[in-house]
Amino acid sequence: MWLRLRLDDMRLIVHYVGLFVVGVGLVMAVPLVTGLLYGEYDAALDYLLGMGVVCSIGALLVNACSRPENLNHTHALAITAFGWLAASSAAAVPLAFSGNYGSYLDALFDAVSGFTTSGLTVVVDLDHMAHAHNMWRHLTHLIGGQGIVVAALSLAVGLRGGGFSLYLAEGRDERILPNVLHTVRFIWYVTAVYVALGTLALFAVTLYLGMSPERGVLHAFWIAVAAYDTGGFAPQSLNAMYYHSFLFETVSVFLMLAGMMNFNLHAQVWRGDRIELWKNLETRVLAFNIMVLSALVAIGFAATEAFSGPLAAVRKGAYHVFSAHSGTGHQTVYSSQWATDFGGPAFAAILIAMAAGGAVSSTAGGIKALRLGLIVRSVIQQVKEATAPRSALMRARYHHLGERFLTPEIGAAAATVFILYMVTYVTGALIGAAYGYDAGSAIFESISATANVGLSTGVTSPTMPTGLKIVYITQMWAGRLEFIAVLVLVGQLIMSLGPQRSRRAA
Amino acid sequence: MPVHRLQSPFERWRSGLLVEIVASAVFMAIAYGMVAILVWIL
Amino acid sequence: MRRTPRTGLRWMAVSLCAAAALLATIAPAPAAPPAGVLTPAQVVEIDRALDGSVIELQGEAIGESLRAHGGGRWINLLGDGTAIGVWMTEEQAATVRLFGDHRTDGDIVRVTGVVNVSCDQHGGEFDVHAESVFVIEPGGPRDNPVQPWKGAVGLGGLFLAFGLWRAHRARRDRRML
Repeated sequence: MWLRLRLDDMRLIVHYVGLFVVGVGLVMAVPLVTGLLYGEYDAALDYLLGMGVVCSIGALLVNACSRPENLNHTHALAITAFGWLAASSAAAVPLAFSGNYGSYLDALFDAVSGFTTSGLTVVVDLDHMAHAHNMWRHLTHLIGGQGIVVAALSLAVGLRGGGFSLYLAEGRDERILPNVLHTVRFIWYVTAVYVALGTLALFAVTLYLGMSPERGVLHAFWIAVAAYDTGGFAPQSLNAMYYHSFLFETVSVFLMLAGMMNFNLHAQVWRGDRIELWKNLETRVLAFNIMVLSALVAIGFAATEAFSGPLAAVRKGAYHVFSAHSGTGHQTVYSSQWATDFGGPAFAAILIAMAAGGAVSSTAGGIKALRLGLIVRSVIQQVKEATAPRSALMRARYHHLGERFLTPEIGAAAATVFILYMVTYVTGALIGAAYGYDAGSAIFESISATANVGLSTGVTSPTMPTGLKIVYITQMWAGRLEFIAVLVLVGQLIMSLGPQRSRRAA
Repeated sequence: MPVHRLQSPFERWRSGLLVEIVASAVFMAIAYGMVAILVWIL
Repeated sequence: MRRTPRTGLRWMAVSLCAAAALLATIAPAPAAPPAGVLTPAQVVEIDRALDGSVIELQGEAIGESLRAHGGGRWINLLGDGTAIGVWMTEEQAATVRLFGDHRTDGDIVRVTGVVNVSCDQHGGEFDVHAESVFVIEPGGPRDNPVQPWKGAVGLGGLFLAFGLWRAHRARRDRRML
């Protein structure tokens, strides 16, 4: 059933979106301070400007549409979908003034890519970018990775018809239940622990590599955030290749693994339930996938003699399986090497890894391991049922934070999202191919954008067609929100802007 | 299990974190090792 | 026909779009390509038949000189928007003084060396093993002009936002009463 948005609903949505925008503006204080600390006064001013512009627009939205009304589930979905776009548009303002982007659209591309923790970038001359701007790019990973988790978590609860639904978490303000607050706090707590540990470890590596402490600490923090939040931005144009260090890559893979794990699983393990790590359907699917795909990459390398030697196979092969599967997108080969040097089977393995993605309720993107596991289980169950005597009553179970029954509804929901992802992967690839890119690159880039990975074959560049930039922005946005919120928003807009028919009495 | 739930989720985080890191390390070692050995053999 | 309240929203949407369009005008500055020798971007696209041959490349040193596992230093050279790692000895690395970052243009370095598409010694890296390293043009400070208007607009915006916030709070408090 489509709920037509009334004017009051729209005002409510705009009000909350305005709060999002003000929030983004306030966080710009961090790069502002970074710029001042490192004596980059020109870049610091970009953030003062950004704060002023963004906060005033946000406050205007909040003020123009303040309505004390209860949020419902539909509002919450629309606020989430619309809020993500608004927050990205706001975050793009200081980037647009940095001089490192060809246009506001390019800055928006990076802002969306940052918030959705994708990592595709159209930045120009990244190696000369101010620390302040890099701080902001990586902060978008930190905000986006955690923020969307809150939305996704609540969405899952709402779909289950649980006690509290999405709006409580995303609607913020006064109306938050203790449970939701507790969840959100725990998510931030896990993040703080991992990012702090990751920063420390990477800082030690940067010092060993001979970087100055003041540069090293920034690089360590940024890469820790980008790896843990499965983002993929890096402060240098060479991305992870800049450091030329196996040690550095290995530490960041640890963070990627932590980032692709379900926050509920972190909670369970941290409470002391260690067996869950082993029994969980999701970790099993992930472990199985990574092993099979790593083997495929190894076989591919051996067949094409691409990267000879065990160490090369690990650093260029296994590393990318981890990076792609977690949706991080840190890259240790040049974009053009995917086509020229990587070879068929390994290339295919990376495609599958990107499409599959990490765990639900994590910062990773993609279809997600739980859904894949459920779909496989559903198929097995159907085969079993087909061969069993009619009188037999069979119920499939799965283990995910406790034993659960695999009902047809759960299987169908997983299959729906799976189909939406696949359709988006293919559609984006066809559009890329229509723009004249070769099929392999177009598929790779489309999956990378939709699954919020960030590996690139070089299609994504400042000189790519404007239309394709908009397509990828849409894919990153829709993929990160797992389509439902976006589809609700689109449906509502169509319904609300269409001819006015029988309106429900309010 | 119910006993754990009564405690704060943060109480045992150190040992939990350690378990996660060790599990990750073991898993990475297996994956890296497998790739290295496969490439070396083939 | 309850048209009137909607036109307000529509007007707001149009003005927001106009504001966004105003922001869409900034152009990047391309790096100057050197003549005769290869740029890092050309090295990355090099014919794979030339893998292992000696080439000459030129680019700006960026970031810093990094310790290489197993001895030597890495210096990343940038040109045409792409950078490549050059592996060299400590002595060669010491000749490079300035490295590019936001406030510095790095030394322009010309390197003669062996290009490896997948280096056996360095875990499959796409690298250049330097034979000779020359700084052909020393770097210097970069010009990053401070534009005061940005600060003025920013402060103005913040005051406006603060005022709006106060107004919002006041209105809400009044409603509560």
